[in-house]
Amino acid sequence: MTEGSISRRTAWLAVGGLGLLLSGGYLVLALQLPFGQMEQPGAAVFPLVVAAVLALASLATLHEGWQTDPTLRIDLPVGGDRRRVLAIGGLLVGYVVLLPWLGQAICSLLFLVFALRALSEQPWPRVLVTAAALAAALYVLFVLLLKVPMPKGVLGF
Amino acid sequence: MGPVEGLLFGLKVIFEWHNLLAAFAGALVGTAVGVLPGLGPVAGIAIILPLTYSLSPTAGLIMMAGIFYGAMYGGSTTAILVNMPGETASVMTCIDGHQLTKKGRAGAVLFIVALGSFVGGTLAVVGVMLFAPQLAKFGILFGPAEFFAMTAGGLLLLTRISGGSLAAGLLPMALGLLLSTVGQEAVTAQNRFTFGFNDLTAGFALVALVVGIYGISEILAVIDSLERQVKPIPVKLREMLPTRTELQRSAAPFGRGTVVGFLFGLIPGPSATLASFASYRLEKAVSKHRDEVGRGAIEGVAGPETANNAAATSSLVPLLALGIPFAPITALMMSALLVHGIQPGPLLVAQHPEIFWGVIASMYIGNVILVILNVPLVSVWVSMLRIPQWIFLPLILMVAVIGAYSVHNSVLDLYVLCAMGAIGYVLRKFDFQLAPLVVGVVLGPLIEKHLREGLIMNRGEFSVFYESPIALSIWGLVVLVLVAGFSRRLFGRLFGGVAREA
Repeated sequence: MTEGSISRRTAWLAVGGLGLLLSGGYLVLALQLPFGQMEQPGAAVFPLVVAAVLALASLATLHEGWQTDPTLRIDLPVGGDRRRVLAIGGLLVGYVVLLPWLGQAICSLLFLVFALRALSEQPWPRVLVTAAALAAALYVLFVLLLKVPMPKGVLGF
Repeated sequence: MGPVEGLLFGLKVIFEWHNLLAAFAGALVGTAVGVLPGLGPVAGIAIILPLTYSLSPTAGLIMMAGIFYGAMYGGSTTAILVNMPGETASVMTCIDGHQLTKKGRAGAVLFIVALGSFVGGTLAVVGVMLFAPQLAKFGILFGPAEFFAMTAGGLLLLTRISGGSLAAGLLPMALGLLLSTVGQEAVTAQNRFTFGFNDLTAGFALVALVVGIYGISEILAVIDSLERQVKPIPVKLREMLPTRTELQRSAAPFGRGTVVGFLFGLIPGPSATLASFASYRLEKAVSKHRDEVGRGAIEGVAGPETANNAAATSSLVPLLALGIPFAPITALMMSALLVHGIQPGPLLVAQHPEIFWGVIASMYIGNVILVILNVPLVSVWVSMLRIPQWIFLPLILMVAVIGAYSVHNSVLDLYVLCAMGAIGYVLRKFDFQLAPLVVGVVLGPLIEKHLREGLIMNRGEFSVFYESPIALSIWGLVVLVLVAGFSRRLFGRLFGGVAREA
């Protein structure tokens, strides 16, 4: 076993298990829809088929996971790589959460400042100038020229 | 309208300035998308998709087609120069392309690739021009049973042909079908799985979903190996002329690649990727210089690159002739047509000849534009690889977010984007296929529609789905391919190691 990896068997068994749980929950919800009759099928018919297909696919995943050589590993990012992936993912979620309150311009600037810094060792002044230039370019292109109605936020832009 | 009349009509359409501009913009963006790692053609088209809504349907589709085959051109540049494919259809090009670069032949190889892509793309258009209208005429005979067989059978085939194991394709396909059932269903307007969110009544936004699954996950995958990136080798225009021998040795692979690519484009799946793999195998088996293939032979580049462009072109046939998308990119193209109220299908050629023939003619012009863009301007594209990734990647993320938001102006779509990005990243890491998920989302409503229509029209008799000779033949073919697929040795020999379609 190496640091920054996961057993392929464990990964596939986890995905298959989650798929099976999802198909069960989905089936419960699908059963609450009108089934209709065979000559006039209702809204439940196709979801029931999908639930069955998902359950089968999950069982196939579990089976293949179980058959997998236990020594096979899937590499996961470690150290700086892992930090960067988590930072960018977290920043993206933060952007979406804050967008309705802060608006596109401020959110883009904040995202770019921290994302540029997370992906490089550049000094802060250079990061700030680059982020401001990119955020301004995005604002001009999408909001002013292409008229995309992005949220304005509390500051009004 | 016959093929020649149709082509002349299409040329009239493409030479309208806005359509010509769309073809140029598509080729330009497509080449950039192909060159730049971290943004494949699917994500590139998905990000551009909202912009095409403001264009006419013809111009929008021309631009999207341009991005598709433009990315096939551009993807080879990084494969040859830095041994890193810009998209998966260029994976095979890395092997011999980078070996030749090490021998100082980078410029000549790029020229051969541009020439091969032009030959493959242009000859495949002739095939599309002759074949698609005939298939559309045949498609008029199709009823719900036949369309059900085409959509459901095609999706099943896709799960097996996409590469990887059975579950690697089947699970994402089932997930895609599940996602397709969210929202108001078409027959009785019943809301399903919306959990009280009004924004979900129309279902998940395809753009947010595709940009998340392909774009965000791809960028995260690039970020998690950022330290291992390399600098490209500069290429000067005067170094681009191939020798007479290189041109002579490329002629036969151009021809073989075109045929292989055209045929692979017609089947469900990541056709461009599969075509380049099959073409590489073919060159290794039949080329006069087969012993050199794998160690820096021009045949190992000329064949696959011709094949992937031919496949990109012919993969439009099922969409244009039958209205059935068999790959994520054609699924996006279909959604663009639906936004304009145009139902792609066998009647498209009769009802909207300007779209059908305009797109076909645009591919002739687009291939010429691409040669002009790629041969003299190769140094410009190479210089794009020098844009620091710490600037480029966050910028692309912002463009992706704004693009996804702009479709419905909904923050919910952005949450979908983030969730799909995370799911896509995990699926990539664990070696699941992404294409069946996206195609499942698009084909899901069509499969349901044809299933329910078939049952309603035949008073609940399920036998309708296998009694028609056409439907029965389609199912027979599906079963044949699936059974052959289970023969691991045969399948592995042909497509072993095929990566996921980008």
